[in-house]
Amino acid sequence: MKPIKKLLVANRSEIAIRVFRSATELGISTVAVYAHEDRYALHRFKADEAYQIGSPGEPIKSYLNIPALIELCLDHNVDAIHPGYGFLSENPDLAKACQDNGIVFVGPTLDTLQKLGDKTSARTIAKAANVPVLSGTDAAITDAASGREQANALGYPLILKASHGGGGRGMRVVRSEDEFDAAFEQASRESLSAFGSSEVFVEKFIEHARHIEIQLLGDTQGNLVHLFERDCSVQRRHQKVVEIAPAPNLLPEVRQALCDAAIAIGQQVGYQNAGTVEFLVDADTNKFYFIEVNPRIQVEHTVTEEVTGVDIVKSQILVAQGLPLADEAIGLANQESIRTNGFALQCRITTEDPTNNFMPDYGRVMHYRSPGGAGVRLDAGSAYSGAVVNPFYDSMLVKLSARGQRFSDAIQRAKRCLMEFRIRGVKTNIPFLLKLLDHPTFIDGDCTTRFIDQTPTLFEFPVRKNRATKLLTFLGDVIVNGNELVAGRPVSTRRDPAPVPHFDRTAAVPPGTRDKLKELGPEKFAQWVKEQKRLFITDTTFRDAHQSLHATRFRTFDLLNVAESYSMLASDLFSLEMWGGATFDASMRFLKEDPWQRLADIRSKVPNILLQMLLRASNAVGYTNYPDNVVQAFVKETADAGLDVFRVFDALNWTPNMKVAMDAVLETGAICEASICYTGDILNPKRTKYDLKYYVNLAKELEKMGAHILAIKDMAGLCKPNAAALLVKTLKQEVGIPIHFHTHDTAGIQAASILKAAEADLDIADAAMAPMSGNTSQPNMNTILASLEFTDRNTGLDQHSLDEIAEYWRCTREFYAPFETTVLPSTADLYNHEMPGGQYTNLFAQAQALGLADRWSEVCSIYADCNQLLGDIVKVTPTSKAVGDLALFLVANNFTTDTVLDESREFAFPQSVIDLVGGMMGQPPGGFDPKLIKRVLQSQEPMTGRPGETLPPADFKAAGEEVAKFLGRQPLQREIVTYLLYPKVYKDYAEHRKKYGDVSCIPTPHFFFGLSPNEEFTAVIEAGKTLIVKYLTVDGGKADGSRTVFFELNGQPRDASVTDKSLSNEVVTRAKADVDNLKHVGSTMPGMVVTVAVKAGDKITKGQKLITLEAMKMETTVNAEIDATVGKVHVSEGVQVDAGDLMIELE
Amino acid sequence: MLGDTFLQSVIHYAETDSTNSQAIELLASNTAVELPCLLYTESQVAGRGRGANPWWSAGGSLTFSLIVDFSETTFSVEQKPLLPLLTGMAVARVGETLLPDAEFTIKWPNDVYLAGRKLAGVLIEVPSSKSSARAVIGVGLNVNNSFAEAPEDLASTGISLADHSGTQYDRMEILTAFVREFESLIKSFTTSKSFLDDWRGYCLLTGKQVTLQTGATEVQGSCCGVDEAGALVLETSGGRQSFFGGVVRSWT
Repeated sequence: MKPIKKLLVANRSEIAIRVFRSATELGISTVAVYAHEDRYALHRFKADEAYQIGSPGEPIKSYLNIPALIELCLDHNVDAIHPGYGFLSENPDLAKACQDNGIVFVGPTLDTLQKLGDKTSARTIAKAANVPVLSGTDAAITDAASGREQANALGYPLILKASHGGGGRGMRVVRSEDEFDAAFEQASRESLSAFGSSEVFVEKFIEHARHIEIQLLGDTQGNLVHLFERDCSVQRRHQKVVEIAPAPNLLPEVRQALCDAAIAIGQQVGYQNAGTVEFLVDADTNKFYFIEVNPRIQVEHTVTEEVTGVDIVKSQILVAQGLPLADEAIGLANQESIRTNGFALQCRITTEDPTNNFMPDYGRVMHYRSPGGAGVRLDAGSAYSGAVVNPFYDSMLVKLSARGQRFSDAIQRAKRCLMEFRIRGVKTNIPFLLKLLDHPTFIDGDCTTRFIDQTPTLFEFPVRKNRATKLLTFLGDVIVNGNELVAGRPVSTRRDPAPVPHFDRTAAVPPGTRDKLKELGPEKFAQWVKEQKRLFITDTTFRDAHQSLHATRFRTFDLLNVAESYSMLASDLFSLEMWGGATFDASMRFLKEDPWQRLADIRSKVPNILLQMLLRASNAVGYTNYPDNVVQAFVKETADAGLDVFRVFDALNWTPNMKVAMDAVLETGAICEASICYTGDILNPKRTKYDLKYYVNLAKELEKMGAHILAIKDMAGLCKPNAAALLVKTLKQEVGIPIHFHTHDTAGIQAASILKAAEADLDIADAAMAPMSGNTSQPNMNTILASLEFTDRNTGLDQHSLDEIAEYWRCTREFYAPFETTVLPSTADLYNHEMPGGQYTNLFAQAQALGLADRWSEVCSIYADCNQLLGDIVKVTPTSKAVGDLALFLVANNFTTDTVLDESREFAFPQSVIDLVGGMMGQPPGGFDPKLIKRVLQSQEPMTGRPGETLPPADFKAAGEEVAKFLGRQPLQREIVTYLLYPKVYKDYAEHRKKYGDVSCIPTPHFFFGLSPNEEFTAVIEAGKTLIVKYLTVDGGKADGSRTVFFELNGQPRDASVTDKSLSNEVVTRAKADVDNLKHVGSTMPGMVVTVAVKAGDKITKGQKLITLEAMKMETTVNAEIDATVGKVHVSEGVQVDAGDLMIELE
Repeated sequence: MLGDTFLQSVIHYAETDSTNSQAIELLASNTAVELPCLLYTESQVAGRGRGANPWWSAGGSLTFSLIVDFSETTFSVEQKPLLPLLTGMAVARVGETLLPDAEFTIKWPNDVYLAGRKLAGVLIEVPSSKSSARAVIGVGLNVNNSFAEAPEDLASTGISLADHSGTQYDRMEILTAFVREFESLIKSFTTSKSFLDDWRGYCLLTGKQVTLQTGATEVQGSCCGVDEAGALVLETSGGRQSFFGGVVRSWT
């Protein structure tokens, strides 16, 4: 026995580490070698000593340098070399060099290596041991006839192979004699063109082959045992992917025969040390054939170790020192003492992208987290956060071995581990492995060697969530480029979260109006409301308040934070108005949030209070008429999502337009609250169009149409206190349903209207939390409550609790400083122009943009004139927009309303005016002036019926297919409805979501303004899954315009690469040239600009050279097609362009 | 050769400046010429490479230009950039038939390497956008010229077929073989994908650290092969990028 004191492993990565581990357990010093390219590899640090071999630029060659290895051993007193697998493991030269220099080679003898290394001699050995080999012709076939004879002798099926080839070219499977001649011709021809030789030979072909191999272990005393088999049938293009021990579904007699055959072959050569005999087993006949012997340790030796309990590498080292197998350090006294227990399988986790034809992926492993637990074994190379996977070596990152009593247990454990892995920065084959382990053929243990190549479903992958990476990319983008939503707007300095009111979190949710609705149903519930003494209050803070004050920019995050407080502290509210109006559009368009998710989330936090929305009748939550079936589907989806009260209105109080929406609501079992839009002044005897009688008739009609509640929608705040009292008092006498008053405090006096109406037995009033009230928003809820406290209309709400909620909103409002608007003074002029609250600020901004800010009072006055010209109409979206557009049009052109009717002039009316007068928005009471219709529509006929009637029904199936295309999955009904309402907005939102994930979980200050270095926040991405995000720093930017933003995610380093828009003007997508415009010079092909021969201002003549483009070294000259002057040059030398990109504009 | 290949005309020069220059002149002169047309010469005195690079055309090398009109092929405008890749592959395949055991690789986009040294260069010129369906494909292939006699800077980087095998070849046979291989590649061209799958097998740069010069800037990265448009894909520090243009300055 020759003891080993110091062992060198002539290998790298996981197998080097594997050997070091066993050697260390045996008390042997370990030595690693590494190529320059591997200087940071982990195996270097797992050995006691490590030395670089070879020079830079020789990543592979270095490990093959026998003289250098031997020299190193001699210099550092290394007395043994373990070759691992691959590299020099089967090279007799290394074994010879060891022998010559007195170094122990941990492996078989030199003689064995030489005999088994040659395929022909290995076959001869097998034949000598009476082991069947795959039969075939030894010499090339010269012609079809003689080939056919040989083929017939062998029997079909068989395969024709090119003598000089490989990789599939020149191969043909022949199943019967009559196929032979044609196949021979083709194979010869292919072989000739591919390999320059037409030589082919035939071999027996096994249709369903299993790859089974037997592990051998022999000592120097002549003892030889087997450690049973491994099933390596699961292969991809001859590369093993998953290995199993023992082979499932292998007949005991076949197993025994294989083991006997392997031992017989081993005995033929007096096999020493570890080796593997590989066989193909015909799954149909159970016949088996010898392939080759691998005289070394194998990648998949782990599974044998797991089921037999034998440390093969340790045994290798001990045997190499001369110990017999029976020695108690090895413990293999005889074959009978070896048993297998349970099953083990090994998955090779590689950095290959299964979605891209297993293309190796390189780069930095940004994040690495591995699984563990009972029955799990990991053999990793350089797998850790920060490791660099470089292209020189094979792409195996880590081997996962999982054990289980039954095969199915091992599979379940392996699957659990694969899911537990978190590897980011490089792509891995884990999704593929998961698919594989889920496949019934695999689970049944029936895989054959061509299973993967013949099962395309293994390559269809579910989209992985990878939410954290997307979130960091979004944050990185905001940090580097800013959020365009707040670009150029005032900055909010508040970073602290708004304080959420305190309440007892263990207490039961108090019952509220929703419980009552569930108990009574909508009709009885309405009666119950009428019978209550108190004044009910609807809080509009979640919707109308920020729509009126902050352009609808409040995010779900801030609404959701306080939602539960409402449910616990304000359960006596009538409802929360929290959806519809502009929120649907704005949440997707600007906030990149899902409006449906907002509804569902608030619903789950507020189970006890009614949720209310504003529905623009046939316009739903949009600005145009939709087909009836879209409105109906929208209402149904909304009710299903948990909404209770639909406030339905029509901009012209035209009931036919409201009917479809109201019927749809009534069908769902939700509360239908029909609105009368208030305009004019019922106290003014001269305003006869919209008098008390008009409203009473309207109310009666709506009641008849099935409304459960009647809303007075005073969108412009025109309903003065005494008018409110009169109107409510009258309506209470004339209709039998509760009255709900909604007003805007533009004039500053509307709290009085609510109080006066309350005295007249108003049932429900809209108000907003104090910090979000006043001006174009609703009146102040907190002070209204206090005013009513000691009256018989006491609301029952707790003032102190509501003040705490108000405090939350005060702080939250600070986040939205960028969206605060100029507060316009409200004068009594309001009663003249009658502009609704939302439009009041909007129109001012529009006027400002047109340079008309100083003529604001003139705009207001013309607005009033326009209203009269249009016949005094109800003004609310979208009719108010038409009036506003017309007013701005007139002021900007210094026209008056008289000019409009002047027949001697030609006008291009704004589209909204054409739509309004043309009947596209419905019919106003009394209709439009025929003279005006003629002026606006000219020869066109106005529409008199309901616009929704003429629209063809939307095709949900076709729309669903469209949506499926960009979602990449089957859409839900509500997604199709969303697309039908807002095709472009929804598509953009879906793309944002795909790229950045759900950004609604980011706290608002960080959503708008990113983070400062070392700032941290917590985001809940789903129940029980919390991300702690800390921003560290950003690098200085690279030539390609990208920057790396560094974060800590749950304490682990992560980064995101983002394009810095200020650095990368060249990276931004270029505008496309208009092919019909001769003044646009576009790129004729994708490529790089080599020269730009002209500059702006140059006079050029037809045919002159403008630009030279190069693609793949192919140069194209772009010449001028006309005489012109160069206007703008959009590209410079070295810039990459796509086909059709605009390069030069001519003048 | 006219009967054996898809060529419609062949022009032979005993000596000329550059077959590519002749081909471009020919196209510009509006002379009626039937395409595809082959121009070849025994001796090229002013061979051109990319940009202002010269091409060393020693006696024994094979230099020729092919004018093709690929509006009549299955190539679309988007696929036009694949022409250089295809030409390089045709040269490599001809080489493989002559030296079956040698290693032929292609340095993106179209330089053919034999045993790590440059064997052939390709220069494709598209005369102008208007007639952009036509291309002049110039090939310089080192056949019997020995690099032992080459200028010093080329001696260690270039190679000829004869240098590698020690035998002399019939240049006309090689030329015919090239035209046939090129024709078969063009005619069997179905999808970019299947073509590029084959091409990737020849890529010299895949897996190497590559320095690419684009205009005035240099980009470094690890080469991930070519993308579906044939552009060179580099994994740079700023992420994965595709390049249609640029000169590969070095690779390790």
